[in-house]
Amino acid sequence: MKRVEWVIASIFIALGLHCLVMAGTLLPGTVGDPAYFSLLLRVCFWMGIPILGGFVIYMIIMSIKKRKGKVL
Amino acid sequence: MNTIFYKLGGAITILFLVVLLPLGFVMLEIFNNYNHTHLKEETEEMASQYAIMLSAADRLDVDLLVDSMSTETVREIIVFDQTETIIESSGMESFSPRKKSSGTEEIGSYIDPKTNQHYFYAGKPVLDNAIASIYVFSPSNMMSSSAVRVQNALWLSGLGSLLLALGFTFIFSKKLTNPLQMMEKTAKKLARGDLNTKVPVTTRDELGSLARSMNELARELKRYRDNRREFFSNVSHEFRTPLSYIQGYSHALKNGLQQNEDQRQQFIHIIHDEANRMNRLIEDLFELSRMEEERFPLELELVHLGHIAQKAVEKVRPSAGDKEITLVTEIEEDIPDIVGDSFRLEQIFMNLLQNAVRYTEHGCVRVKVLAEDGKVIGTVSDTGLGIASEEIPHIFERFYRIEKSRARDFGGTGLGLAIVKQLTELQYGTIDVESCDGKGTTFTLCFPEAREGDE
Repeated sequence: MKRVEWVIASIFIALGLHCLVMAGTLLPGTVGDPAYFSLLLRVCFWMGIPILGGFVIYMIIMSIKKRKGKVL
Repeated sequence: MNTIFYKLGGAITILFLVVLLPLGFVMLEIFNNYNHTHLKEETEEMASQYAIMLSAADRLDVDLLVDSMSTETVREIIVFDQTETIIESSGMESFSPRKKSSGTEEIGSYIDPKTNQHYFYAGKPVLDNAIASIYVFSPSNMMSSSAVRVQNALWLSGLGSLLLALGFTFIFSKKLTNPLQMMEKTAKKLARGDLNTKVPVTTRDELGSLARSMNELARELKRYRDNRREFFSNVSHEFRTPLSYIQGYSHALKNGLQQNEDQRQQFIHIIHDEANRMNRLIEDLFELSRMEEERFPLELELVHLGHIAQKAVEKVRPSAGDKEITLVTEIEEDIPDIVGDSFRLEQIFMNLLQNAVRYTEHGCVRVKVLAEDGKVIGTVSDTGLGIASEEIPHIFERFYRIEKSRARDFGGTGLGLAIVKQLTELQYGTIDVESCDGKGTTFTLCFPEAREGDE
């Protein structure tokens, strides 16, 4: 991927995260920078779970394949 | 737009929308239903509270209540007396209660004919002689500020999810389609004839396998193209020399340029030899091309390699005798049979022996046949010119000659060893060469022993 393509994708993801966090902090009682960053971290955590899960499953499958000698 | 990136990216985006839009719609419906229920309950509760208040209040308090309601909220209020005549109203005069029996509760919806505004209303009886009932009207689209914020938050989170999905879709689509696009570009380059191009292999999945296959294909194509060029160049070169001989000497004979009868005979001999040479060249080329295309018929049977080697030695012995070369054979008697075509095995030994005799001026040519580790090994060694180590990898190539300047002095077509190699491999054997420049060369043929059932 080219640098400009990474930038475009990053902008989309950053805007998406911002919208989600803003939605989470829109109600009264959750205003302020600490609440924003705390929610951002939690949104990132939930976003990271499927990525991490997929990676772990991929690594397990690869290690099983390697053990069986199926890797080219 | 008609690229796999847009197709894949578009398909994933549509998939996200297919999931997100119904989810968003259902969430908003749930929210609206909750809000309406809440509004109805609130309206009923307000009507009940006002009814209790009015039962203990006087007429002046009713005016005050209705005035404050009409100025401070969007809600409307109507107070009826026992004859269902409006005592006080905040501006909803067209409404009349549905139930004629006063003193009972009533809830429902109503559209104001003046403004076309939808309302929920709740009517409650008032325990007072002058006032029969009170009706409170709440606009159906009325929401509290919190509810508005919740709705906005839902919209915003939906938009955020969509943007996040678009960002990841972009990355995954690019990652998945980039190798395919590279392969497509490479295939176009290959089609244009640029066979040096390669696809980078980045993954170990089907795409990686495809990239490897494409690189292999490009290598094979390049090898094939180079071989074909070299082949045509060699063939034209090999044919040019005898043809120029034939042309020159036939021209001399035609114009009577010979000095005497002996010279005429000599010219005829040369023409005859060169014609024979061209004939051999054509036959060898034909055989070799059939072998390389694997269309070469072999009559495979159980054969004794020692007997075949002996027969070949006997055929070569006269020409060895002309050059004072000793032909030595060391053939074991009890060697096992192998699977092969006896005629073609003899051709292999004949080619090797003829080469050995051709390139050996004095000394001996030795032929050995023995059995070792389930294999039958035949060697042909000579004490001739030998082959330089840098020449050895090329000696089985077509038209490759070790001493190019003197090649024609030794005769041969330059195809003998290429034919030997092809014939050996067609009969499940291998051929190796060891040589010491100036001291001699040894060719080693190795064939697997015949197993039970091979006959």
